[in-house]
Amino acid sequence: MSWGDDLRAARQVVGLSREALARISGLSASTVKSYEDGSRNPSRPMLIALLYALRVDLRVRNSILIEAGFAPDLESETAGEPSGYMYSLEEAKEHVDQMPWPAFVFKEVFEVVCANEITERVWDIDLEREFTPGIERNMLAVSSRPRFTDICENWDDMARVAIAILKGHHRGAEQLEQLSPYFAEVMQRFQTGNPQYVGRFLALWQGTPARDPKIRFLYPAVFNLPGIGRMSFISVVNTCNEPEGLAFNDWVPTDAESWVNLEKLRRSPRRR
Amino acid sequence: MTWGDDLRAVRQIVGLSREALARLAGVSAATVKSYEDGSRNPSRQMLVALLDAMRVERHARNTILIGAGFAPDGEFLGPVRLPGYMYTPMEAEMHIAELPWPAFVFNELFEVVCANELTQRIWGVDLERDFPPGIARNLLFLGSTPRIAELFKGWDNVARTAIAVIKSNHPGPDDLQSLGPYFADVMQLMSQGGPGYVARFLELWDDTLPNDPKVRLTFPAVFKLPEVGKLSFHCLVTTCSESEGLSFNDWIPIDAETWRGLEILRTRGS
Repeated sequence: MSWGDDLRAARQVVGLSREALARISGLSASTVKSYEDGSRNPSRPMLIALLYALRVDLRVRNSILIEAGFAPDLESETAGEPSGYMYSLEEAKEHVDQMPWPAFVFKEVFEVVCANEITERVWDIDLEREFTPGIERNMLAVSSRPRFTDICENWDDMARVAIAILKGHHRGAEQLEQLSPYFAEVMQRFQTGNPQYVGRFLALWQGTPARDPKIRFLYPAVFNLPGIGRMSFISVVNTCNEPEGLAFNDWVPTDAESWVNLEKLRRSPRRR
Repeated sequence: MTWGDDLRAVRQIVGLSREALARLAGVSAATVKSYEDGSRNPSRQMLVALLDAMRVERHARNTILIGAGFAPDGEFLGPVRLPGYMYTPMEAEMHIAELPWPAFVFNELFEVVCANELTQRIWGVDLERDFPPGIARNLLFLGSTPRIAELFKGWDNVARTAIAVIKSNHPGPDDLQSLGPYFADVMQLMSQGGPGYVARFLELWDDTLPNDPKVRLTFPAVFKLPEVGKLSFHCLVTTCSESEGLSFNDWIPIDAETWRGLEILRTRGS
C-alpha cells in the first residue's frame, strides 16, 4: 500500500467523500484525488491539513507522513537523546570562545563554521572579515595559499588526514578523476595556490589509504609564526552536532614551548 | 530565503547549470527550475536525488530538507553510525595510550574503565593492581581516597560537576536516596575515605543544580604533586561509545608549567 492508499482508507473510514474532505481542508476535490492516486506530491503543510481535517490518530498520521517522506508530527516523537544534547551553531560558537586553546567547528566537508580568537591568531586570519561563510571557508580549498603553506610545518601530515577522510568518510568515496561537484569546486580553488603544494597533494593522494569514520579522531598540526615561534598541536576532532555534520576541533598544545608561544601570540598585537 | 533559494544557491556554488544538474539527477531542467522558484513541491525522494547529485554537505542538505518540510537525514556523507563508528573499550584504551596528556575513559556511573599511564601517575595509583573493575573504580570513591584527595585542589568544583551530571542523568526526586542502591553503595565507599568527604558531598548536593545534558562537557581540575608542582587542566568529556555509555576524559594541560610538571612525572620511575 502506498501512502496515497492509506490516505484514501483514512478518508473512507470516517465516511467522507472527496468533495467533503476538500471542503473542510480548503483544497479542491481533484487535488485530494491526485494525492490519493499518487499522481501529485503534496507539501507537508498540505498533507497535514488533510490529516487534521480527517482527525486521524497520531499513529496513522505519522505513518502517512513518514510514507510520504515527511518528518513525523513532533508530538509523537519518542525521546531518544534529550533535546539540546547537540550544539546549535550559536552554542558551539559560545563554547569554543571559552576554550583556552585554539578551537573551532567545521562541517564534514572542512568548512570552518566558527573559530575562537586564538585560532584566528594561529592561522593569522580574520575569519569574519576575510572569509565569507560557505566554500570560501573550506580549509582544503585555501590550504595551498602561500600565507598558509608558509606557516604550517607539517602540511603533508594534514593533507594526508584530509585525503584519508575524503576517501573514507564519504559515501561512494571521492576519487580524484571523478570528484563530486562540491569537491571539484574545492580542488579548482586549491589549484590556484602554491603549485609546489598542489603537486604534493596529488602525489600524497595515491599513497594515502581511506580511513573509517570514527566518532573521534586525532591529527597533528604544527605552526610556526614569524616573531612568535613554533607551536605543536594535536587536534582532537569530536562531535558537535551529528545531524548537522558539525565537529569540534580542539587544537591541544602538546608541550611547554607551545604554551609559551601561544601566550606570546595572545599578547602580541593583531596583524589582521 | 526559501528552501528553493537555498537549492539554487548550492547548485550555483558548485557551478552546475540546471541542465547539468537535471542530467545528473535524472529529472528535467524544468523540474529543477520549478523547485528552485517554488512553483512545485518535490517528493522527498526527488529532492534527495537532487541533493545526492550535488553531494551537498549535511548541514546545507538538512537545512533544505527541513525547509521543504521533510525529515532531515544523517546518512549522506559517511553514514553516521556505521558499525565501528563508536569505540570498543579495547580501542578506547589503545587510543588514550597514544595521548601525551592524562586521559581516561569512564562509564555513565563514573566508573573508570581504563586510564593511560600519565593519569595513573598523577593519581598515584596502579589501576589494574589496586582497583578491580566496577564500583571500586568509581571516581567519587577514587577522588575521596585520602591519598588522591590530598593532591587534588578544587575537590568541590569537580564534585559539583559530578552532582550536576548525576542529577540530570537521573531526573526525579532531588535526593540521594532515590538514586537507588548503587549510589548508596558509592556513599558507603566514600565514607571509608573519612566522614568529611561524604558530608561535604551532601552539602554540595543540595545547592547544585542539574546541568543540561550535552554531547560534550568541560570542567577545570588542579593537582598539586610533591616534587612535581602544580598541574592545571581543563577536562574535556566527549563521547566514546553512546550505546555503552562511555566517555573520553581528556585532561588538557593549560599552561607551560603543567607541561613541565608532566615531563618530570613522565621521566621519573614509577
